[in-house]
Amino acid sequence: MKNKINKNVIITLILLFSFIQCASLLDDKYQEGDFFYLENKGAVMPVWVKGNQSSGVYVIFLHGGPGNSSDTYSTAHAYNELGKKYAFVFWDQRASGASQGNPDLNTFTLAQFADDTKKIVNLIRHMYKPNALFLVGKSWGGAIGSYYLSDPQNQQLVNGWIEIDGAHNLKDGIPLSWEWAKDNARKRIAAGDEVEFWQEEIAWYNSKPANIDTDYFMRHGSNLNKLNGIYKNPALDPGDTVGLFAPVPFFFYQLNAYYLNNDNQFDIKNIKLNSLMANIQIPSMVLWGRHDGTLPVELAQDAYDALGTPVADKSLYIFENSAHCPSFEETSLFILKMQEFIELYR
Amino acid sequence: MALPQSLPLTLSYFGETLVHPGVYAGSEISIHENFLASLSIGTYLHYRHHRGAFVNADFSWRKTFSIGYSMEFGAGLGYLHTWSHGGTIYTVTDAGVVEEKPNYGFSSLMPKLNLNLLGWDFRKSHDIPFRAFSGIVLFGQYPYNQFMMPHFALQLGGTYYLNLNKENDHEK
Repeated sequence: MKNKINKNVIITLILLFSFIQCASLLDDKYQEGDFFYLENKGAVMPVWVKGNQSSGVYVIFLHGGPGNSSDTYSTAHAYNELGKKYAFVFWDQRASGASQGNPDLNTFTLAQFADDTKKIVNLIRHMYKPNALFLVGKSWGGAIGSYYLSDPQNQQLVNGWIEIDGAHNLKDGIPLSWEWAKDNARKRIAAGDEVEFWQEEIAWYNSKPANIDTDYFMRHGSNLNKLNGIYKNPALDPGDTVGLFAPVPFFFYQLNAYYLNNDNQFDIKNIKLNSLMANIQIPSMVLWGRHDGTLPVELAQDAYDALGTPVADKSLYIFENSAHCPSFEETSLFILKMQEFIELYR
Repeated sequence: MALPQSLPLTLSYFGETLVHPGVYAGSEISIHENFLASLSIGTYLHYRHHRGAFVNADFSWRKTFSIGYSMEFGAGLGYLHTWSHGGTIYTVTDAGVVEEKPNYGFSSLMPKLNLNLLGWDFRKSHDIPFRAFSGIVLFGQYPYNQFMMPHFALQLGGTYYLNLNKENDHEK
């Protein structure tokens, strides 16, 4: 009897610990580079430095959202290719992606996100002593970078600024996005495509103020997706890159975006940084997708015009076959434009 | 009150998000018919995100059929402490001074739901003091970024019923 008990216990333990060993894995794509955290005002934010650190050129990536993760971009082809030439710094902002802690609600402000950016810049400069440092702001990251760089002291630490389909002007951008959605819904109706659905959506848009309340945000985002306002070619959508073996909490990390924007506790709908952007004097480039429904292409010229950078050192490029994510939709051209800019000002 | 004749000792794999490995150990007492109370302590590792250590108290309803199959539903509350994992934590002062910060971690409340649909009690089927079980745990981590972060975990383990009655041992 005792032998039978011991045998069953031993078999159970062997199975248990074998499973544990097999499961102790981190996806290969996260293995390279340096990983650490920045703690600031209650948020513990992961930072991943990867790519060609021997280049001496560091590019800090400010991800979108609010509340998304740098994960989508940190392992994307465009940034892997650029990473062969430059070092990239991917970090998750407070209450976003893989960030931890329980920061106070009163830290959910653009000013605090910009302060976190300042600390990241200082940390990277301290650790790596880069020869050149660039900031790239994608979507919501465009707002953070624009705000951060509006302080001339911060500009002294950065060689160049790249805004990609950025949120520097949400006050005009959100209504523009709603109009974009209605216009494209009308096109679908005219084409006889899901007529009843789009009629209902247009009626919904007309009945609501252009607002960033979570319910509106979710429904509008879903419509943008259906109208190809995020990816002009949905086949190029990388999907959810966060797998079971990712550092970012699988699936539930998206709740960060939901709660960050919930009930307007992070009031971003009145953000309009154009007057502050006049202070930005460093070399700057604006990249935008022609078919962007999230932040329509009118905002590209708006960003370019707002920048105080001398005309000789600022540029604007529109990707004709992209919506909100040109790095995925026109990858080769995106890589070329990024390289051209960085090489010019490194 | 009659003394228990056996001491249940539980050891189980606790895989947060299935593949972030961990383990927990505990014990249980029968309250009434199919109702039990249990206490467990455990730990798991979400590589390059956090390490968690927890202590839980649970109340469960477990039905064991005569052939040995058992299923269980339970709810509980516990304490979860997490430490950021995989890298050094730095702070930067407003003056730009970089410092390393000790990793004290975060305290959280851990509400929990268990659903074990695959269990086998070998005491019923083979007269062996052992029960195997497998199931899913849904647990919360509060507070986390001003909300409750849900997690799910896989449980795969067994309970050994240590005989406390020395006379029975001698007879066997």
